[in-house]
Amino acid sequence: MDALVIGLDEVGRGDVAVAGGKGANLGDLLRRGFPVPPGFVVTAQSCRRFFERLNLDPDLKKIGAAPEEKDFCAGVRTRIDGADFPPELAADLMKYWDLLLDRRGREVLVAVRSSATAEDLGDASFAGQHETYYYVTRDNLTVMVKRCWSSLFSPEAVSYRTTQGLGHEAVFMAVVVQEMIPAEVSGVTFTANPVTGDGGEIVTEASWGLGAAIVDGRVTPDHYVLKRLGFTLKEKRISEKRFMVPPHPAPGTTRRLDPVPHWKRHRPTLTIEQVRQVAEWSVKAEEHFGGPQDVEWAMAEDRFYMLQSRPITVLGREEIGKGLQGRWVIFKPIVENFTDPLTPLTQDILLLEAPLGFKVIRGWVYTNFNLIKALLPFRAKDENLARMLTEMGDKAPDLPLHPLKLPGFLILLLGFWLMTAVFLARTRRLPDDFMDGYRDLCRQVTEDPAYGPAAAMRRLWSSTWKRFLDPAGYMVVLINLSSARYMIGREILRKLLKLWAPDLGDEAVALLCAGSSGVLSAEMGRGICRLAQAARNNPAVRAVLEKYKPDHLLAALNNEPEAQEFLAQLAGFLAVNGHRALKELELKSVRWEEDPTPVLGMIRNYLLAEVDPEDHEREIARTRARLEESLRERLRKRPLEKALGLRWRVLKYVADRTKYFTKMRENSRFYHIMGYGVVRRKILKVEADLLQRGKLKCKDDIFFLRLDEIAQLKADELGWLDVEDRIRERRLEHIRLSKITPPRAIGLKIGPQAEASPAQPDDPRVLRGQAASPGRYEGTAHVILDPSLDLELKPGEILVAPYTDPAWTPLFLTAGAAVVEVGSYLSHAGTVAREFGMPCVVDVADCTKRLHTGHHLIVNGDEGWVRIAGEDQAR
Amino acid sequence: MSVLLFLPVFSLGMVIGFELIAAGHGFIDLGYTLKTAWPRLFFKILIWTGLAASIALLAGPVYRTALAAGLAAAVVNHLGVFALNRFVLGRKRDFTDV
Repeated sequence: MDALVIGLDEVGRGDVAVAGGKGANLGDLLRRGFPVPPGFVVTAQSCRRFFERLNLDPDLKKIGAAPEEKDFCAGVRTRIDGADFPPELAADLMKYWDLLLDRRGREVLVAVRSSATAEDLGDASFAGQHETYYYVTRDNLTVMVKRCWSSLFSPEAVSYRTTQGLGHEAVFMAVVVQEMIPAEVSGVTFTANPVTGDGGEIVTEASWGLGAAIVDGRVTPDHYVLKRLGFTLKEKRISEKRFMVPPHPAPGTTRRLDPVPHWKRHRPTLTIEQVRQVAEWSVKAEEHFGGPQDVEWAMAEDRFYMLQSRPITVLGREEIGKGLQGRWVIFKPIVENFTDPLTPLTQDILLLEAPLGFKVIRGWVYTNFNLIKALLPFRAKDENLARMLTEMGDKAPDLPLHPLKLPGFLILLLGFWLMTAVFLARTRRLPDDFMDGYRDLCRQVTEDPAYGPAAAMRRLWSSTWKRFLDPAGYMVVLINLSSARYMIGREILRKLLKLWAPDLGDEAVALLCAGSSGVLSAEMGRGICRLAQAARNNPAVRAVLEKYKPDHLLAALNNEPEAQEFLAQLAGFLAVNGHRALKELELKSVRWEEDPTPVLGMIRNYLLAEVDPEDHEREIARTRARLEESLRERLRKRPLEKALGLRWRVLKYVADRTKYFTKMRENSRFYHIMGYGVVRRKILKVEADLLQRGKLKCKDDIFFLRLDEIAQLKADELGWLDVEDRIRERRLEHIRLSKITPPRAIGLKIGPQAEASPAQPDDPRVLRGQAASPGRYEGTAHVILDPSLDLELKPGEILVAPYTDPAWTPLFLTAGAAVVEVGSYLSHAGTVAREFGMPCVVDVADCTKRLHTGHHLIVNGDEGWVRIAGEDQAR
Repeated sequence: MSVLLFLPVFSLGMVIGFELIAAGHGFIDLGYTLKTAWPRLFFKILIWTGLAASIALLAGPVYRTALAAGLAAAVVNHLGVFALNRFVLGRKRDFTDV
């Protein structure tokens, strides 16, 4: 076929060489009666003629051998973008444009998409080739077509072809031009569950406006799951849809995201009939293509349009790290706080000065197993060693020592002691408030424009230990590491209790080591309780909290004259704790001081629960007092104890020292997150500047760029169109990876997480994990995936979560027990559960999928398992 | 004096040296509350200095040498660690900032 432009309805599945894969598919669907928006295709032949006219071949032959390939590709792209558009092709384009105009009866906007002509070019999504340009007008159509062609020579596409051994001279691109539907609602539908691969479920996600917002991960869409049989509704989750990509851009603005009116944010985007309609068309597409499909669609004026259909890619854990050399184990201290992959900017910042042996793999931080194995003095199977590293349990490792490795290890320990002895001595006994000065340091760095985000990170996290005159209170990260001494205290306490009071279980150690005052994260929880109490005592505030959902509360309270005192208290709370956030190690996470909605939600939760969480703490204190009395009774039976009381003094001393270091660990975390919040403020300043200059179009896009890319944007070396693709690809990847829990190890296998309990051999209703806080509890499960969306945990319910971090602490005050998917004994969940004296089991694989809200559970925090005992009343 | 006795005394000297240095740093660490903290810091320095002086007085000249060597080594080690952190491990690697 020699035509330069053809109608979309003139191509079919066999015309990939002319219209590209995308074009051929869409044409085929259109011919078979699917509601595909009308359009036309700029054929691959047009692209070839254009490249021939430019005589690109001699230049293309040099790619791969060019010393600076990136610059060379930029040169090729500049030639393409700057060349005159062939007049005959322009005339053809306008002819087809006029056909669209006639059909619609008014001016139209179009969407322009690259359509690769060969499988060798790879899936466009992963070869860095551009996906879709929106809002294209008649005037800039030719520019966008050239842009699609020049994307063949983006660094990612060139690198992909070079790696695959493909030439660059015979590569051409078709371009699909379709009417842009002024969508009121858009979405994606998967004809099989994209996470589990279950073909019995049809999953639809929908939001207001154009679908770009969902596909790029810029909004949290409504989520609907239908059973394939009968299309009955299985699950429905209506989210708060704050932003939308409008069907028409506002004049005089380059902004791509508009706020959704408040009244619309919580409204369901689809009726059940519409969900079924979407599902029916998607299943038809599946039948047509012969496999599960990922269908992009839009609705306008009550009409359904299919925009794209492609095979679903189910990303499994085994895909992570595929082809990677070496052996890696997940770095638990980060992933147990939240399981999502880090955004690219967070990766750059967090690992600015990471020591040897750390690597980011698809957004998760891993450590080099071979390096660790070489340094540790154990003689153990690799899988046992790896399990020990990934479980980070409470007890000392039960692994035999390797005599030949011992001398090297001792030398290493000696070196470590020489490096840290003074610091360990400095921090052995300091008052509770010794880190308070760090707040002033944060303020100084915030106000000093000489500090960019990276420099701020350096000053606040890593450089303080290189400054002779910095007080120890500034060295918050080092303090966090050095407070691991509490593990020694616990081990000593355990051994002493085994010797002197063997009938007391592990809960005795937990109780003796808990209950310090001045733990800032616990104080934060108490602060929320006090706010709830203040609200309870103020009828007007109470009425507002009971009436409105969390995201409307601040506005409602601001309009309530009686709420001023409460708001002042809230401001005081935020002045101390405002730097906290859910998923606080991710720089993209909004801090409470920017949006206190999660805090107001927690206050509301306590109010509606009609319970005083301080009762819980008082009960724990009473239990601790009873335990101490019981322990003293046992000790008094020992020789000389009545006269000297030596054993009790030793136990108290060890317990006090352990409590000191535990508190130090928690408090240092509070402060280093404060420093992290400063880094986020610096980034937001840069983002505001780039948005204002039109270098970025949407909020939060900056987190999907690397530091050097942001620097190039600021210096005008890159523009929005240069980074739009990569932001999109990275957002897509982030969405995919956020749906899975990362593998614990790459390049080596780890066995089952826990030994089967002899009492529960192979019972399918039993989920095994790691014991993190002792005790047994029976109650109703409440699965919470995101506390910003779901905060209503009833008193005594069992919290089931993918992970927890300090922002989840207030939920622990009302929970009866906790079951966490990713965690360790030392994680936040374990630490807080022990502090509150409630059973907790962590590292329970897929618990948020296998357990449902309403399940009746038995939680055994002593042996580390959870049993589904039945179904309670469904919620 | 045999090596077997020199080493423990030398090590003890290092430990005392580290404690004295830490106590000296205490004036910076507790600078915000020096008005109330200084007696405790002063007492700490007194105790460790007293311990070192007692060992030096009671032990023979050879042990004094070992102790003094340990104290000096502690100071050298501390300055060396600082220099290592500052100028080698923590040298200003090129990083992009924005």
